[in-house]
Amino acid sequence: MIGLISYLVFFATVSSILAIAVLGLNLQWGNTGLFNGGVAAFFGAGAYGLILLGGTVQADHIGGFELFYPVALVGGILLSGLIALVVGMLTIRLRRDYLAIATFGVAVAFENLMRNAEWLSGGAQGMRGFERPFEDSIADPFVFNIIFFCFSVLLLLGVYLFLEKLIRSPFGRLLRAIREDEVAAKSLGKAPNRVRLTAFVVGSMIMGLAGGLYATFYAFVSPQDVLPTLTFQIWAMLIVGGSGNNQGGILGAFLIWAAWTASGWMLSKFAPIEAQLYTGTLQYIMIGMIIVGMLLWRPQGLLPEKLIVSQ
Amino acid sequence: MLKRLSMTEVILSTKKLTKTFGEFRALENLSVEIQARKITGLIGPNGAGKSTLFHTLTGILQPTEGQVFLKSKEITNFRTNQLFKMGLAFTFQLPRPFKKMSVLENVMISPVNQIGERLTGPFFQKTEMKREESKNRDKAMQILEFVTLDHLANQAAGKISGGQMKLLELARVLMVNPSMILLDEPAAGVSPTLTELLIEKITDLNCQGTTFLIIEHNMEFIMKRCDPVIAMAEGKVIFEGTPVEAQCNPLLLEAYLGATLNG
Ligand SMILES: Nc1ncnc2c1ncn2[C@@H]1O[C@H](COP(=O)(O)OP(=O)(O)OP(=O)(O)O)[C@@H](O)[C@H]1O
Ligand SMILES: [Mg+2]
Repeated sequence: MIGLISYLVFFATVSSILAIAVLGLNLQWGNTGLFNGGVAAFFGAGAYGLILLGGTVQADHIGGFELFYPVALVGGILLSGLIALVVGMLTIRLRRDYLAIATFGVAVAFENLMRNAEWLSGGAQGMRGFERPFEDSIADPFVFNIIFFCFSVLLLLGVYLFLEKLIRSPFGRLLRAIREDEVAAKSLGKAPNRVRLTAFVVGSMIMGLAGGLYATFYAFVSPQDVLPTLTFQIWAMLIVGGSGNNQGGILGAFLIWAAWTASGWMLSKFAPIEAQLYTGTLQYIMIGMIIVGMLLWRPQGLLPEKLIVSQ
Repeated sequence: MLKRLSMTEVILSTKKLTKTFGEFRALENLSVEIQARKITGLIGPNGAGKSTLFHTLTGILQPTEGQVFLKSKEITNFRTNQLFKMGLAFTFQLPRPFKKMSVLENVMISPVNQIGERLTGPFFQKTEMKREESKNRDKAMQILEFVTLDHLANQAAGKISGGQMKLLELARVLMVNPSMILLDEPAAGVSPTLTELLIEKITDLNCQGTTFLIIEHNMEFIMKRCDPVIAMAEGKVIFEGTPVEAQCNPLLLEAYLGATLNG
């Protein structure tokens, strides 16, 4: 029984963390129409940033500043924001598809850098040596996990409320107007480039927060955590849940993560050994089919965007 | 005649404006002056370059050659949003509503520099933002009522009819108080009764000092309210004068006939 609960807590923690990243993407894509093909990089910057700043001294790579946890977490978030700012300034004037390609390229470059720059990131082995706050004082790992779960949910709620307030304001109205018709927005005195850049940076920082939490939870980060798979999963969550709807994004995160873990478990349990070699690929195909199915039969997602948001 | 000219003030003008699309010359060395506080009608056959002129005046298109002036200030290559803030507003011939937003939201978006448009507004200037929002909402509802769209306030702007979209575009512009408004066929697809109302409103705003430049194929509209009238054909101005003069000008008739025959 406790095993099941503890698994559910584990599942819900990861889902909540991923849901935060989905909310970040929803601000960018759902509300502003910015195609971010490199979610993993912004998530990863938050994760690596946290361990670099908050971890203990390691022989094989820099870092180990052992900063106070919230400071390290914010540091990771700022790192994500900084990368987004640079990428955004270079590409935001360009057309939508260029941003998609540029962000995708950034994610590939980021993963490569983390994999190869051992002095910086520990290379393929990843970064260890992070001591989770309060882990010593809370002896029971089960209790720790429950507390960490609450912490993650609290942050998810905070991000949700922040974004809800934002998109219901004239700022959110402006984002949607720019998404709908940039030229018309300009004809009404708006400056789309600046607004888009703001949304891109804020959305990326939210992804950075998710990455920081993820790294905290595992007390570890490696290039395996910032693969394009992650970008794909986050997108699937948003599309299935309902692009433009924050509640939809959260729902999508839990559903897709459930489908992903359940399929992994079933494949390992029931599939022939030869097929198990391809578990990841099969999961990819399954999620891909879910996305295609959604786009065909319910393109607005399970919880569609609401018509009246800011009036 | 001379006396009348000396009394007028030019608000918007172009000098030798040329706009080419590849080889095609949509505007050819076009110099024109729009008088302040008047309702100027811009007519001409399809493809004459009227909308292209609008777009080069408002920064949607960059002119290939020539200059544009707002009063005495050169505004060639100024950005559209900048010009809007300077009091130069316009509507598109083909309406461009924000489709997935409500009609009311479409109108409320217009005022520039809203407090809540800043990232910090909703969090640190809540009361001011709320006050501004309720003011904007009331004004938007009034304007929607005027253009008879108030019953559609909560509808998606992409789901209303083409004529209603034209009215919505007008409503968005009326939300601010521009010193000059360029309207590209405001009556196209709009019912005759509503057109009457529209003309009334335009006249009204004009009396309060707003300058209008209106492209319109509806000759009744032009003849009744516009003075002066400017006619274009093939990227050039072919006539400037009063509506009565326009009516009996052979050049104009020829341009329209020519366009009909060629097209
Ligand atoms: N972006 C563009 N690229 C190429 N040609 C264009 C473009 N925009 C306009 N044109 C051409 O320029 C000419 C003038 O077009 P414009 O839209 O200004 O005409 P108009 O006077 O507004 O006509 P209408 O009364 O039909 O609206 C037309 O021949 C049109 O095909
Ligand atoms: Mg036209």
